[in-house]
Amino acid sequence: MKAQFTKESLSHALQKVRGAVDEQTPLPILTNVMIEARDGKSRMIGTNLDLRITVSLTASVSDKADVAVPAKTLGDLVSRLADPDSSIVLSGDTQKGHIQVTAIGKQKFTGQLPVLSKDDYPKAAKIEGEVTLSIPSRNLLSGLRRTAVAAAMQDGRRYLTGVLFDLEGSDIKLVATDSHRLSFVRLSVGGKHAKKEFLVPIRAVQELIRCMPDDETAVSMTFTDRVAVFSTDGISIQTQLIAEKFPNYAQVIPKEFELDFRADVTQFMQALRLVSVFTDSQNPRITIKLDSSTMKISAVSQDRGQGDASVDVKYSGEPMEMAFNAYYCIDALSQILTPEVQVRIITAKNPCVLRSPDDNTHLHVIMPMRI
Amino acid sequence: MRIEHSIALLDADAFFVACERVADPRLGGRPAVVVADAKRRSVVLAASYEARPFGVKTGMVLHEARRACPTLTVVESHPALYLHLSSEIEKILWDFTDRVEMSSVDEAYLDLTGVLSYFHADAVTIGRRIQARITQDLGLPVTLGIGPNKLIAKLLADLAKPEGVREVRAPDVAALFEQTPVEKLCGIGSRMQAALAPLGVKTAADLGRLPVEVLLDRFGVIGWTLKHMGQGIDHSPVRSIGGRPGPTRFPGRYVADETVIPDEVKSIGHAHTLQTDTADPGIVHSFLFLLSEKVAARLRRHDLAGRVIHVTIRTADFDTLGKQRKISIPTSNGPEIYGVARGILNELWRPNPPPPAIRLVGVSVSYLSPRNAQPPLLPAERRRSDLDDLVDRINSRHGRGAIRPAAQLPAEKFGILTPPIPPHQHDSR
Repeated sequence: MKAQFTKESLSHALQKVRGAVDEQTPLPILTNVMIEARDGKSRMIGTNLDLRITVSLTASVSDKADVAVPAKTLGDLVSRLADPDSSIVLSGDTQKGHIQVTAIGKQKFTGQLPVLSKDDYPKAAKIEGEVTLSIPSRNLLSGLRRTAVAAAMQDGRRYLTGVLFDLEGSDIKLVATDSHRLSFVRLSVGGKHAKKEFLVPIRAVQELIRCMPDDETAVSMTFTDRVAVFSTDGISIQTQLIAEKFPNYAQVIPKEFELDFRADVTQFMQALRLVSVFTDSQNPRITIKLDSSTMKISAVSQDRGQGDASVDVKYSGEPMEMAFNAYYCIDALSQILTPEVQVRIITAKNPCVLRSPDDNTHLHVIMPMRI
Repeated sequence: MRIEHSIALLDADAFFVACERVADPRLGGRPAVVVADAKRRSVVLAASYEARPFGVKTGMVLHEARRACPTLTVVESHPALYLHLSSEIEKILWDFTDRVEMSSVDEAYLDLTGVLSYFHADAVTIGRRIQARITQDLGLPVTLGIGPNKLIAKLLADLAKPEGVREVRAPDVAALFEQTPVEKLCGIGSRMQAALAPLGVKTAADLGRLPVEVLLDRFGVIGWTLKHMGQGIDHSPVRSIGGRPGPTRFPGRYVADETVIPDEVKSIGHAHTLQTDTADPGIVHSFLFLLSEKVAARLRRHDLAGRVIHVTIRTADFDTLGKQRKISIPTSNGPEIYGVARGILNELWRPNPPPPAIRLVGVSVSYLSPRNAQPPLLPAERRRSDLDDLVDRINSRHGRGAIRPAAQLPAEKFGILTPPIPPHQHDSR
């Protein structure tokens, strides 16, 4: 092979594909990235078998080849090349088990990297019987950010560790729950689709949020029963789906309420942050006391002391008290982008809903703690 | 009015040896030691009282012990057995007070202050009942030291060993301390003893008489602790794990300033040494399931749930491997713990190349918080939690294991290294 890549292009591609490369893995080939050096359309690929990220590379290729290169070594080399305008040339016979690496630019460097054959590198899944949609990247990312906060990062019940894509009619609904709280976003995708559900693992969601552009670029989403592929011009993220049934979320979202209050999101958030000094993840409880026009947020810790903060609210009900996990409230509020939040309540023991006032396209359901 | 506290330290006599005697009564009455591995160069983990006159003691190298006592019987240790009997002791203790702190596998502090009037008995009488019950139900000899605090209770237990019950009340502590060499106090080691000697401290009472400035000057902040030790003062409470399940037998007996601190206990775990080493994944998985269920049931008994799940395996070659994983939501459900534990096991015990035979499997859960503080949002999770409660109620009425998952049957059939335990005899009082 012989191909020349700019530092910038390699560094950009590595930064993205390494999101799918695990340092610790039972299959040594997976610590490599695959470089496909082709005329005009070179690519770099990283995978852990569940997740596969493919990024386009700018390269000038005089002898094309596909080769698997150790991700960490190549990454370290590229990041330590001080000259931002430098390039790297990969050359040699890939059948020999190693290739030459040469830096071109202000720094003089030559080296040798062990390589593995492209035949040992896992192939992409076949896409059959698919549904394809397109959506502006910004909308997808905003929906994923808002829902991902409620997913479990790690749990034996895998259905809690993903974001559900529930396609029906012209909408796609994104839903995530860790069994204590749930978040819901409705996005319009146009067209008329039969109902179909796809459960995308949280790790793939995190990579989408990290890698996809936060602009109007169109993202094409392709789903089969087992795999989803999200792609734009320069990048494609393919993931296995979670083969478990997502809970019936519609029955969890309350429809009728007894009470509600509105508060300024920033003030509410600042008060929560102050009071949560007296909480920790093993004792995350805060209590909220509502009285006409004020809300008092309190927390008590056995060794840190206790604190109260008050916030003005619009509330016309009877005085009441509820308890919440502080972090669930902070996560939910962090995703409410309007100046005001509306909190809708049935009783202190029932799930309550946080949303932008009168907006049903995005909401968080939180189960209160016992008082 | 100041309440006089009644704190007991229960200490099992030559615990490991006693456990081995439960498993094999032929060891009774003979000088015996427990070691980790009789073949290798090993140290004595415990020595029977019969072996001690020969100079055999804990920490000694095995061949020295054999030289000191040629008739010595050497037994290899069975940690799973000790843990099991330790938990059986704990169960009995919960029948006597709702303040039990298992400070080690063979030691427990009990707060008897509130239960004396419940039993209409003094502390020594209750101590003797506890001792009789443990000997009768488990065949284990124990000693109890009783005093106004943990420091004194510990001292008394050391003085009363073996098979004794001894109490000192607060007014008599000063007289006892006049005769107690300072190194007998828990926390005074040989180096501290050597550092105290130039200050003229020989007895515990000498230490109490030293001006605190002298101690602060010589030892820094722990000067205050030393002064208090010498005066027989110790305010540390008996810290139970969340307490025993269900309604307590002793309602409202305790003063409010001694709230039980649940997070004092850092983890809850179980381990089993298998009857024989095995590389059969079906058996190993079944053990993992059984242990997950046991740990879950114990978490629920203490009204706790945890977020960090740890799996330990020991191979036939005595390689011990462990790994843990933190989950997002605290759990006290067996299958949930198993789901995570299984993932960890798959990383520790890879099928390719052929995995080594396994000798011991352990599961523990830490990062604990109260179980029911946060009710679930999803109906399925609520049902699961209700089901756990129901199973616990059935098992508490009809005996532990009366209802249990079939997935643990292969492990039960395969067997663990445990001696026959006499059936649990209910306290007739």
